[in-house]
Amino acid sequence: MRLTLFTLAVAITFGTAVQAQQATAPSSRTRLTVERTVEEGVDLLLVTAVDGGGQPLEGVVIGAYVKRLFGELVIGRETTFDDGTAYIALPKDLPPSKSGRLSILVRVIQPQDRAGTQTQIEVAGVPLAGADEPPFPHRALWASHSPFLLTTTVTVLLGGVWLTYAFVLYQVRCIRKGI
Amino acid sequence: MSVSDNEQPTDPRQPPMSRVTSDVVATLKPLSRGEWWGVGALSAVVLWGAAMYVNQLRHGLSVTAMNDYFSWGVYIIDYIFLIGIGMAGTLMSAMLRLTGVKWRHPITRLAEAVTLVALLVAGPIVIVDMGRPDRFFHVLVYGRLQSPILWDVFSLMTYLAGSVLYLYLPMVPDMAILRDCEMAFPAWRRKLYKMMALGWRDTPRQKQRLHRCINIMAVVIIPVAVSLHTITAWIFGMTLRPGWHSSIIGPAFVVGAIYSGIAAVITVMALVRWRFKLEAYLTPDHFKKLSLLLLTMCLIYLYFTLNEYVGGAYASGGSESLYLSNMFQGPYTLQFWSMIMIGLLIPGLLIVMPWTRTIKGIVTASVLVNIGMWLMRYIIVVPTLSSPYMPLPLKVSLIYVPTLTEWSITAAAFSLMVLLFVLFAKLFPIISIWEIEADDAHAATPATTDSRQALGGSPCA
Repeated sequence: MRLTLFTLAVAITFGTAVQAQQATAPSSRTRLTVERTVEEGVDLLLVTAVDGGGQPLEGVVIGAYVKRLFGELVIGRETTFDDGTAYIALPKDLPPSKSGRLSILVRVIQPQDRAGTQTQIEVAGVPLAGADEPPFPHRALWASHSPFLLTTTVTVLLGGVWLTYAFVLYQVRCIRKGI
Repeated sequence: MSVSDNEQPTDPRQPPMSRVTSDVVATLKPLSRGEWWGVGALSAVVLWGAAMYVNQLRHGLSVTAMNDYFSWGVYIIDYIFLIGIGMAGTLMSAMLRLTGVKWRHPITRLAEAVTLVALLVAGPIVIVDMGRPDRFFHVLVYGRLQSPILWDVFSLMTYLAGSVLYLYLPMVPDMAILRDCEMAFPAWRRKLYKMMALGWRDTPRQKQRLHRCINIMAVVIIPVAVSLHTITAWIFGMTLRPGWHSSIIGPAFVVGAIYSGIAAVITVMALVRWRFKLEAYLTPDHFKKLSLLLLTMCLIYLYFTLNEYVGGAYASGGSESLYLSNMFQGPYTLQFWSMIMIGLLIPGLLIVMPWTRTIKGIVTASVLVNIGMWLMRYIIVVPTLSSPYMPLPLKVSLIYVPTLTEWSITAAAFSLMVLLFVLFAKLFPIISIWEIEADDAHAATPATTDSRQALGGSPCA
């Protein structure tokens, strides 16, 4: 009896979801495809927007972003032509990640009913000169780690003094114990 | 904190107190009516300062004269001044101890106590300067080891811990004397003395260990003390500002600290001598010897000051010129020339001339030195901040005038320091009993043993 009820509940839940998915008209759904291309020596992202039936969408505003540590960096914004395509220039001075890749996010901005649809593409970035170096010099006050020599010096000096204090406290304990 | 002669019967089996013990124990008697009035007045100032601090907490640092340009003000001036005083007490005591100077005995504890109370007040002043107290926690958690500010925090904590140990160790035999003597202390005080005496029985093993500990601490505390004030100087010196970014700022800070610290010790010594009637122990000879030390430091500091300003004035330009002209003939002229006169020249003359090298003259010189050295810290902090490298927006006048809040908290800090010292002096012997007794014993018997080896003698004997 319990199993039957559970099966019924699952069927209702998933059945409803499937029905809801099917209720969305194919024409109101949006699919984005992105590929990297080079035209006349310019590095471009070719974005194609089509609806659920595969028909190109014209006049859709597309934004392209690069994922960065604290958010998304806008690299371009274009409107699709009548064939559903849009070209967004890929800047040459984008430092890639350590693996040499750039993670680019493409998202529909307008119209409102299609906004939010997005897709992601990984492209090979062009390593910038000095990109492997840390963003701040080692000695900068805001560098993430202090120089090794400084850390060692401070630790040794402070450690030496506090170890001496510990030795004196041990002697004090011996005085108290009459050892 | 009271000593009552009638609370407990004296033990007839105990030996009678020595002259030194009875003289020093007499300083532990309850406060007189006049002293209570003094304590009351100081407490009122502390409470007023606390109320102003609460107001500052509510409204932020806008109640002070500090702003985008004057990121430091009177609070930091107080901090440098207080750790300067704090540095000299223990440093002087340690150096005199290591060099085996015997006349040090009546003044070492007093100097060490001055260090302790100055440090106890100096630390919280920085938190007051930060505005929000939780920022101190941030310094500890998020602080960068590259920053001299973090080094200063470590150094201050290390020096404070060392000063407590260095003050306490020579007190152990005195605690045993108080524990065993016939003076009727309240039960809680006897318990305190007993606990602090560490079961001291004057055995050779105990004496050896204590002697070793004191000597070790005397050696260690000197570099720690010097490092504290040097690092404080580096906070300024490692900043590219006119008047701060100088290679002699570290040694100049250290010399200035010793100079003001010796002056503070002389001033406190005079007050203790007068209030506790310890003329037999704190003699004119002590004042004269310390005054010569003061004069030496005065001359050295004068030399540093000359180097600092003459070099800058000769080759200056831009902000450096503005900085120097602000002091020599600008808005900070009064403070600068007052510092030169009050802090260096007049005290120097008072000590140099034999007819003014009396206790009154020396104490006057010391008080002037303290005022002058506070002004010197003002001169170090404020004129530099009013001489920025970046151009100023129009109609911005860079004049720093401390507000009532800042003056109130400053007054409260100094009052608290005096109160803490009074508390110490009324709770513990302000001069070292066992060391003076050892001196007396050494003088009485022509033995060849070093008096530093003769720790104590029988308690109350």
